[in-house]
Amino acid sequence: MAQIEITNVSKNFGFGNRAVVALDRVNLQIEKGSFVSLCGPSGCGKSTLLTLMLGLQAPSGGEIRINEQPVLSPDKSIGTVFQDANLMPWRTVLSNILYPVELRRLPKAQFRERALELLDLVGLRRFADHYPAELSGGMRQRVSICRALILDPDILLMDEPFSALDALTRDEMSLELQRIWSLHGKTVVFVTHSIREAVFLSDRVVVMGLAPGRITEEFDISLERPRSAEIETVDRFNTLIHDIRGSIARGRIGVDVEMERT
Amino acid sequence: MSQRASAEVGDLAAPSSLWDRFVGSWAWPTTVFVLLLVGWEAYVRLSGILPVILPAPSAVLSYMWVQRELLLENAWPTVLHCLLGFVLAVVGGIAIAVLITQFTTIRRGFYPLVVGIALIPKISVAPLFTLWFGAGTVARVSLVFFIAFFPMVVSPASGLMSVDAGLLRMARAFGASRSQIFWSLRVPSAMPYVFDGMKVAMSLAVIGIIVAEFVTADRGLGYLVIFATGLLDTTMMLAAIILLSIIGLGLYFAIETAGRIVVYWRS
Ligand SMILES: Nc1ncnc2c1ncn2[C@@H]1O[C@H](COP(=O)(O)OP(=O)(O)OP(=O)(O)O)[C@@H](O)[C@H]1O
Ligand SMILES: [Mg+2]
Repeated sequence: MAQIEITNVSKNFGFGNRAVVALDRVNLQIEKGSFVSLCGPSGCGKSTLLTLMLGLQAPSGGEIRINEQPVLSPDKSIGTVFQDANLMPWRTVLSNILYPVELRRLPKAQFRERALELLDLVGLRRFADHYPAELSGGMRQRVSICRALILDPDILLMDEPFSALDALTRDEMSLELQRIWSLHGKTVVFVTHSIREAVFLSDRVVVMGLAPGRITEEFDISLERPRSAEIETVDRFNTLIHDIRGSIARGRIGVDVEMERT
Repeated sequence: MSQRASAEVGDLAAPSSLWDRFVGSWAWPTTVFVLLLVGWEAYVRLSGILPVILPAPSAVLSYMWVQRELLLENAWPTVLHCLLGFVLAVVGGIAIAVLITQFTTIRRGFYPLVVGIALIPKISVAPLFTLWFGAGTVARVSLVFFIAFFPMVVSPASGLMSVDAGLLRMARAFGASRSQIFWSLRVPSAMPYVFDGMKVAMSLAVIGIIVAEFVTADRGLGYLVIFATGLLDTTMMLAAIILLSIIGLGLYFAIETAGRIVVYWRS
């Protein structure tokens, strides 16, 4: 059985003429240790799907199981990184990373070493006692990745974690994420608007379509690892990007919209 | 150290010339103040205006020095009652703010009432308080409390509700409970609002104690102002007013400083 089992999951928002079908009967299996990206046009329900996997909201229909348990509320085995770093400005970097430890009422002293190791991993150890306001956007996002990893979760859910970064930092962070992933062997679900980034990082790219939000196509990315910037010269890499772009473009034309027009 | 932040500010306010540096420092407002005093002094001396109407600043200052004991004796109860009412307002206001924000039932029932009462011109109830609580300390402290209380409800309440939506989502995703969210997110987010409320409450508390002493008192700086009016002693009146202003400013800056220390991340 896959680690994450999404079966016939639907999510509706609002009522009457403001009703939105954010997700329509989504089925997705994610294997333990795999890196899966979700791509698709804005509003196709990527964030919604992540929110449901996090247990922050309940699906309107269907079921999500993680490690064979139905998801009912936020779970310790999941770490998460959002589009914004969401660091508390009144806490130092170290204290921000230890926040999940504190929430679980675990002894903070024991996790201090681990927090510093994680900071080493992202090259920010000497900023441990700094406040978020003293860091750049990219540095903050790296801190939030450390926070997601502090409890050593099996699963990492990331919603456009690099979208606030400039292109160069973004590429660096991709490499870093690949390195962290290969070292720790976690299951990663990664939402991005960058097809290149998705192909670069993933074992599998799931393309979602609009109106209603649904999965339209899946692509296996069987490119060799570890991958470096050189991969851009590989034909298969570019073909995949091209195919996925086409798939996303087709998914933008909603099913509902078509029916209304006829 | 916040090198980034200070560098940004430094760039904007980079002192270019001697004049700019002068205007940017404390020397400039001090100069303006001294010049105004000199102008006042000169006007009184040259125009021959009666001291009953407007005494010279030098006369007021020397009066303050000569009568320092009388002034301090009267300043003490004013400060004490003002602070007492203020502290009660801060504690009570924050407690109500917590109840209002944490319990929907209480919010539904009481918040409209709080906002309604907040709109009453509170000074107008001063005589009523004398009727209820007599002419003593209780009436004065009650008025200070009543006048300072409402900003101490409204401001912390909006602070407790002002938590950044992203932080809230993050905390929930990491499994934070309601009470954990309260202590780790709501309370720190409310701190800047609490101090803003305290600044407003403090200026109102000073007005409250003066009005209370106008209405009923046998001591205090507010009483001294009324007493001096009866004697047509304008110098004494101005001396009391100046001392009141100094006290008010001192209390305000104490809060400002405390706020800067507590809300250290907002510099
Ligand atoms: N809390 C909510 N209330 C009402 N509608 C919502 C809510 N959250 C999401 N939606 C709707 O659900 C749909 C999917 O939204 P979602 O945020 O999941 O899209 P997305 O794929 O993450 O888009 P983007 O790429 O722009 O982040 C949208 O039509 C949105 O309007
Ligand atoms: Mg989204």
